[in-house]
Amino acid sequence: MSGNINRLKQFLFVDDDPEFLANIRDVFSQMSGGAWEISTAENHAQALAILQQHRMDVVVVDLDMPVVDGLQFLRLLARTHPGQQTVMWTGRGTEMSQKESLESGAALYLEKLITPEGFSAVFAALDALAGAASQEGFRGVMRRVGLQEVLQMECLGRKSSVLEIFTNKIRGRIFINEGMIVHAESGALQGEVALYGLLALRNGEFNFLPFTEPQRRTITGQWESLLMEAARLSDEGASFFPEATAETGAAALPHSPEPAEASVADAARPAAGPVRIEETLLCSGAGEVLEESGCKTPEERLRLLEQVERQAAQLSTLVPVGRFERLEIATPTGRVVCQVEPHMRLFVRSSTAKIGVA
Amino acid sequence: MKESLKQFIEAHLPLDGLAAWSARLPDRTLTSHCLNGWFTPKQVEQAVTRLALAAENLNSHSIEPARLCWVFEHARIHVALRGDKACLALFVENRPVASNAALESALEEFNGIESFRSTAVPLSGGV
Repeated sequence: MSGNINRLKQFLFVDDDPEFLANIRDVFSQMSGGAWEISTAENHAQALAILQQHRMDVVVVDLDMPVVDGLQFLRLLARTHPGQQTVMWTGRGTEMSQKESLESGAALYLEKLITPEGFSAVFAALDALAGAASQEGFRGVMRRVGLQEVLQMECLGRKSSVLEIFTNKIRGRIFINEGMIVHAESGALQGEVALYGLLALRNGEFNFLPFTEPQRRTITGQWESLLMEAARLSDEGASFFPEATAETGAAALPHSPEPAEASVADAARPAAGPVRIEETLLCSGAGEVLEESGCKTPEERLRLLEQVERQAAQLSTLVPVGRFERLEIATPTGRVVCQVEPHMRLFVRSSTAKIGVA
Repeated sequence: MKESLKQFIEAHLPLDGLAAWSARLPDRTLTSHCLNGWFTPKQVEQAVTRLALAAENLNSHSIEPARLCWVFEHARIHVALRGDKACLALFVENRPVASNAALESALEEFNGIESFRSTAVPLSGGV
């Protein structure tokens, strides 16, 4: 591979047919006018070896390969190279394989058309995909730098951007406008709960995209306070994504949290000790339980959240303090957080081995 | 104002970002002070009464609160609760507080005021 990696669009085609690979290399090289650098692999092992050495804008995978087929390889790539743009293509497309491919992370599902028109159509799609991947911003890996640190730098610099975060299971975006975190979203979650969930991820990738106005701004707090709260929740192993406990570290509970960089700025917390999440209840604004763990009586926790919401509303009428965000409770044995937003309610109870408050 | 409370106030308040404070003693008397024009003493005292009731209500949910923090868009209301039903509420502007340690210290020290312990009533329930 040449040293033009920063200039040329990098493609890896994985197909068990060497003649086909040679053919598409010739055709696409000619069509790109030298703008593409094309690598080929005849099986998943060769492909992984190439990916260890070179970063690819797009990996195009044949569905029907022996030993490790295209679908399995996509799933493998999602774990080993999260965020890698992938495309599935096949000569025998079915609705089911299309669905499975897209669910496994493929950005496109293409049919192998060997006519000039077919090659032209595939070329245009792949070229656009690689172009989008290289123009949308920087890409980083969170294994070496914390997402909180990235976000902190963006806020300190009073930047405006959209921080796109993805793992093999979770996609999310954090909107930053002139250094203020104004919105976060991930799946059904929005607002602070989405922000905290994304910031609790241990591994994944992120892209900085140009700022675009979200459909709705859901976060208004100071970014320093938000990051401190996120750090605390992360320390406690709070999990907001039911499908991603391993990625957030919650599955490893109980664990000894690392000391938080930012000390608490608000409610009391018990003295540091092993933290265990005892109860979690996440429900929609209408009261429908979306996620629950450890609650002996979810109905009672729902009632508590309703009471907290009512009490907060009463307080808001008595003192001009604005919209209610959450109630944090320190108990002799741990901590409780009740968060109430129009579209969701969250109850988390954690315990610590050491009693830190009187 | 009781002497012990007065000494506590003089030693710990005001704090950076503190807009108002109110102390509710075991006999349910209230002592409040507003440091700027954001809140009136009447507003603060009404709020503290509600805060105390809300804290008591948590016991019915098997939650024994020692400290509470109600986080609102513009302010945080920190409440330190004692076993004798005295409580201290600090209304703090919702921005990064420079002297977080001072806030923590004030809330902890309130619980350590000796003279309030003579009529201590343990809270029931627990987490």
